[in-house]
Amino acid sequence: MKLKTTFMKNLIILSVFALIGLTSCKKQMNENQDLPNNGSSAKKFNEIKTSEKFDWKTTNELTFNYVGIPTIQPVKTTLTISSEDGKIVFYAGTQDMSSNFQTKLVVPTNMSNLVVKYGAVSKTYNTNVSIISFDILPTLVD
Amino acid sequence: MKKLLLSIVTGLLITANTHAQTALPILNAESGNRSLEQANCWSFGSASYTNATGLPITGSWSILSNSPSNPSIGACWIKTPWIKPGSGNITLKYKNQSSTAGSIRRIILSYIPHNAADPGNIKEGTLVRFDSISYSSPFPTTSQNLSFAIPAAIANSTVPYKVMISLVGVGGNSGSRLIVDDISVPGTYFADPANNCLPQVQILDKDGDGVADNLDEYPEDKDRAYNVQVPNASASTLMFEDLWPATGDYDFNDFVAAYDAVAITNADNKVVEVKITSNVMAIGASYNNGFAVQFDGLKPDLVQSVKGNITNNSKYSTFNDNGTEAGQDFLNILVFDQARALFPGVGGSGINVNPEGPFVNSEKVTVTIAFNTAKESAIEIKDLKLNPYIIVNQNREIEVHLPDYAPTGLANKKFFGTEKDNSNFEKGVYYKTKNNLPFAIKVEGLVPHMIEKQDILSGYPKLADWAASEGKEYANWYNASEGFRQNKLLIYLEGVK
Repeated sequence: MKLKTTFMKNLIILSVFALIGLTSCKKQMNENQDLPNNGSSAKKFNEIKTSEKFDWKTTNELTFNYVGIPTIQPVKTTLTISSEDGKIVFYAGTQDMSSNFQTKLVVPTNMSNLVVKYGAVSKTYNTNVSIISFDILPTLVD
Repeated sequence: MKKLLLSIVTGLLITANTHAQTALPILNAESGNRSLEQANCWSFGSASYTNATGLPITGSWSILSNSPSNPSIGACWIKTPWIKPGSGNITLKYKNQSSTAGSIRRIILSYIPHNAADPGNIKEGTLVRFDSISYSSPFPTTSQNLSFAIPAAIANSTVPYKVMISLVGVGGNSGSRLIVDDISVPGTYFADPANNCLPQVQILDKDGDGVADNLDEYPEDKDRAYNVQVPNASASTLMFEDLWPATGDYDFNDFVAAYDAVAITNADNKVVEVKITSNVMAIGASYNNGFAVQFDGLKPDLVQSVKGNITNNSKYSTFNDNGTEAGQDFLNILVFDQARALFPGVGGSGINVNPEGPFVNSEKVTVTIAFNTAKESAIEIKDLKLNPYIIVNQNREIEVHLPDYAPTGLANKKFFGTEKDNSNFEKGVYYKTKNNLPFAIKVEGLVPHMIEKQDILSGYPKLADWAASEGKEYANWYNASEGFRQNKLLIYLEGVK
């Protein structure tokens, strides 16, 4: 009887460990399944498979639009587009407040935000877009 | 006398950026967009524009008060921008939406002096009420022409004021609002929409180029105003394989260089100069390559001069009088003709590719390209499309460019389509293999390069995922994030992160 009890105890302990082990394996398997199937099997550069459309650029190209507004008298000041820390200036130029302006920006893919300044107006934009439109119109509050 | 002369000279150096003297236009709401007026420094407190049927007094739009339930001067108002008041009368048109709902309707006029010491953003002083008109029921529902004299205290002032028109009342509901139109306030516009609508100030502009000194990178040089990163040429690391059209060991360290290009523009946004800075970080092969940049689409004669490049009386290139490379359709600048010459006294085939060192710094090369700024030939930032490349082992006929960047006119076309190269000129495909693999990579920022003979994937494993996903995954494959680099296979020179 004692032998049977001991056997049962061992069986239960083994089952618990097995369950824990299986759960761990399952989690591991799920984590692996969550990894994107994106060609990471390439171990050598010449094993990489990629579309002929891929351009290998580590930059994104954005279109920037300054939307001019009619002004009572001519107003000109400096328009700047820079990284958030201001260290990289992607554009700086004299801008007439009432004239439209468009330019292309080439922004590193590892840069998530751009800061646009016109006079005292400053706005931050995410770079995860193809077009940035900037104006100095205030937000209406009724 | 000396002091007098000095003050005259200083006065000449500091040019005031004077604004035109413009009369404040009539506010008639016809823009239909109140924010346009706000951008021009009018301000509105609980007053809106309306084009509802039967409400506009003149034209298609008028200004509508809130539901008048509070006679306080601040309940509903319109403020002019900062003006230098003139003399005469402030005029406006008024009617009420309904004749009977409510007990009082009142239009109150006040002026606000400027107070530079105001800790807030709007710099308004204490409001002074100077006139008003009140109506009791029944209110006028047809247009009334109202006129209020500008008080003597501010008439023809040389300092700025705002005029505030309050539209208030007691009783009634949303159907009994005040409507005004064609507000005319005699005075000279004196607000600066680019500076929080504060009063205009004289701007220091020592060089007189129209760019205020605090915004001018070159405040004492009228020909220069701004520094701008050249598109697609931000501080980056260029990594080349140099066996093109054959492929190599893909360690991308045959030629590694830090590369940066900044344009200097003038107040008219024309490019005055481009400064290309480069220093070689590694040479992982035996070839002695040159480094050059083509300005795609630009003619060589747009350039006045080229200074700072190191050509060692190049045996393979000749130059135009302005320093650009001769025989090219597009503007080409030879930055340096021999990478190895930038490491004086350093021998051996590999430089900075052995993890044991020694590590040496190359001579830093900064080339200044001065452009013509005459109107007919001046270029702008958008015209700058830089195409950096290497000239392989002193052979001017063999170039290696970044993927899909065209060769220059001096590259021998006979090599294209041979060995592993799969360029297709008709499709604009250049310097790629049949499997779309490049012969050179440009990475933003200064990043470590591979040690000799180690495939780049062993140092940057996420590069494969990035390429296979067409750039959608692991766009930051070169970052120092955990798991993105195998540091024991990478060489970190000074300044590399």
